[in-house]
Amino acid sequence: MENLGVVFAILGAAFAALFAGIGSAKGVGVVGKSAAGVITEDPSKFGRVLILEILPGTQGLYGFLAAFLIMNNISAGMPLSQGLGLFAASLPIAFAGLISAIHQGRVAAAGCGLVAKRPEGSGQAIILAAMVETYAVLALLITILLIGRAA
Amino acid sequence: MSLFNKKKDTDYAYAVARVRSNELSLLTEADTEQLIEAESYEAAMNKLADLGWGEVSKDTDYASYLEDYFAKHWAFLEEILDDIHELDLLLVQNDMQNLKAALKSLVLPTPVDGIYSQSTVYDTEALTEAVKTKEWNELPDFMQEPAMEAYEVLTTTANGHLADAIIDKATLERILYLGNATGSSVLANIAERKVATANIKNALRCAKTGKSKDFIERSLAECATLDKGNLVEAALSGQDAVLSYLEMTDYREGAEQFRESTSLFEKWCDDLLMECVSEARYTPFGVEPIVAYYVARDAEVKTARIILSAKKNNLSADMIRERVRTLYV
Repeated sequence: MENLGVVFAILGAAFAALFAGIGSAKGVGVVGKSAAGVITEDPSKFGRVLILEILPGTQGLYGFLAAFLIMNNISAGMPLSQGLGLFAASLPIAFAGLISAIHQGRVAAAGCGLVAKRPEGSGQAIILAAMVETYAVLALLITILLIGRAA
Repeated sequence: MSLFNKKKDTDYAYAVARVRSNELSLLTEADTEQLIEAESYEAAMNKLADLGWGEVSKDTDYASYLEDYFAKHWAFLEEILDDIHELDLLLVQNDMQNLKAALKSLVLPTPVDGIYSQSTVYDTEALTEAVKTKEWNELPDFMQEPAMEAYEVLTTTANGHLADAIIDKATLERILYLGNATGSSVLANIAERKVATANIKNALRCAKTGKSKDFIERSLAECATLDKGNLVEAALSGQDAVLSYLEMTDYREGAEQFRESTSLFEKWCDDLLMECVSEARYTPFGVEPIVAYYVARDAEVKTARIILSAKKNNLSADMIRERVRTLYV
């Protein structure tokens, strides 16, 4: 029981990395399929679809960053309240990361269709996909602020 | 179809991206206008060659040229789809045409070659062999009963029209079934419109040729947007009665077009299908953009055929414009 705080903190780090990572894997996977389709027909569009492919991957990085910050704040025998606080801090990036990466993947994959038909529209496709990123960034910000409060 | 039902819309992401890239090569209205304005049949053929439809020579026959062009795109669809049965809805009529041909070959004194369509979902050779040996259970389930019934009609009454009507009705019922089985509102709508327009054409034909009530009932399929009973009664009374009935349905424009000319009516039928698939232009995933691509290629080939045939027969540009189909892009 005395290490319950540590357990919750570790669980928080795992949540942040796991769920945001799952979201990114799904998002990047969908864009990857679309991008492969575009490149099969026109290999010269690789550069344009690559940026779209990268975008849903950022949530996984945010989750990794949050997990790293939480782990840095874990100390042996930390109180339960602190452990619970760190666990709660992981939730915004874990879930907002999961959902936003999946949806960003769909938007970016649709953007690949736009690039296929109108290569000059790749900037617009990137902007549309980047809009979804806003919510992952806000979630990361809250996660970082909460880690600061809980630590 | 089981695989089809389990797939998520994003499972089509690769195929849709390839379709989007290929949509760039679809005929545009500007291309069509240039073809119509071409000085001669040869000039129109050369224009198609310039657009990447394939090399042409002095001896190139436009029918086989267009067939080869469509076959190339059919091969593309086979390549991008894991399960070609997802296009059954659009192709099952080709299989049923082959079934008709195979049945007729059984009763005709001389075998008929080169009449089978190749854009099919079932193996044509296996289908013709099953019919030849009368192993009806070797046919796909939905073909068995109509094949037996049509064979019975052909051998007992030699009524080829009725045998055709039996197969046609089974085709329409299969199209409706496939459209509804997909769970896609776009595909269900395509199926409904295809069946409704086929029913209208059948009813008008039956009315013109004075077919019996039994024949008309065996020709028309039930569908949601037309009342079969009313259509049968109208067809018994004549073409005007069919058109009057249509004026009370969603298909009043079809009646107006038919009164103008049969070619305008045919164009309206094809355009109706294009209208159903046009929303797929903005659908990022799913089977709909692939179905729309097939319909778009089919429409462009029909358009090219109309223009080339008209050029060969020296029809005026205005007459050609009246007949060309609405394009996808």
